[in-house]
Amino acid sequence: MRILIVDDSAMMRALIKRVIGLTELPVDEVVEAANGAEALRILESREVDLLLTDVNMPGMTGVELLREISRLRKWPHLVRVIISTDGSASRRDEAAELDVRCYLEKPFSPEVLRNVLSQAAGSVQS
Amino acid sequence: MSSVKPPDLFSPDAGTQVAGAVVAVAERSFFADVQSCDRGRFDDLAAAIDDSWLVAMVHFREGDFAGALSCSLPQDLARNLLDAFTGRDPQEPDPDREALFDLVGELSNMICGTWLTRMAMAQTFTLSRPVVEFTRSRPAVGEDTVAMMAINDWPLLVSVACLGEDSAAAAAGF
Repeated sequence: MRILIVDDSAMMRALIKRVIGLTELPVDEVVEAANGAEALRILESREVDLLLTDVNMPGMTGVELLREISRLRKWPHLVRVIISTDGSASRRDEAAELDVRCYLEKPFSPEVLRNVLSQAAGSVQS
Repeated sequence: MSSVKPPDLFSPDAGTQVAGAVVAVAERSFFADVQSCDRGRFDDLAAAIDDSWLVAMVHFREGDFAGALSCSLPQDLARNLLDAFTGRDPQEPDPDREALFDLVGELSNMICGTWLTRMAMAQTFTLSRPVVEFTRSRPAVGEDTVAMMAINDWPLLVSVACLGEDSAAAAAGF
């Protein structure tokens, strides 16, 4: 499984990466991007199975990234997960319309992230 | 423009909700011991700190409504939280300033997002990128102070300000 982490905080990317390392999931590669535009460039250039994205980021937000992914229709099997401080009902509704598999609200415990990753990994493999 | 009336973010309940957000963030993401404290305890904790403080400000906006939340904490607490967040060994050389600023920005972002979600579940606020500054001045408790906290026996002060409609467009980060 190849994972792309999109978050403007290097600290948050490091934490997510650390939790991924603690799981026993079959992870081949973890790639990082600091915003949506950078994530799109990575998606264009390499295979990614699972996308973990923040919402509020400078340049291109996570929602804009997900809209662009839907519009381009190039990655139908990409499993999409949002990790955000914004847990509002309207944001969750918006995410559901963008084919988001899981919505993880910050702050989260590593155990919760691990569960979300396991769930998402199941979707990748099936 | 939003069709939903903004919540009363400055109601008496706001301080309780901010304190609850700090507890949730500090416990879940930083595995910290966190408690609300009164003015006397906060002053005692702050007095023990040297002149190294970090202040992070996050602006938030929904329709014509805009405000800002700021967190003030000693640099030593930022280092302590960074160790818990990243698993860094405290014996390693001190983290650079950029790492501390990133950490404090993420902390304030999570506190602000958690608080707004609790206060206004039906609305979608846009949060700015946190602006973090180093200061040698001890933070002042004032009318905009909504929570005084003790995290691992270090002080954290949270303030919230309403920027109003006129200044909404000028809010930093949008």
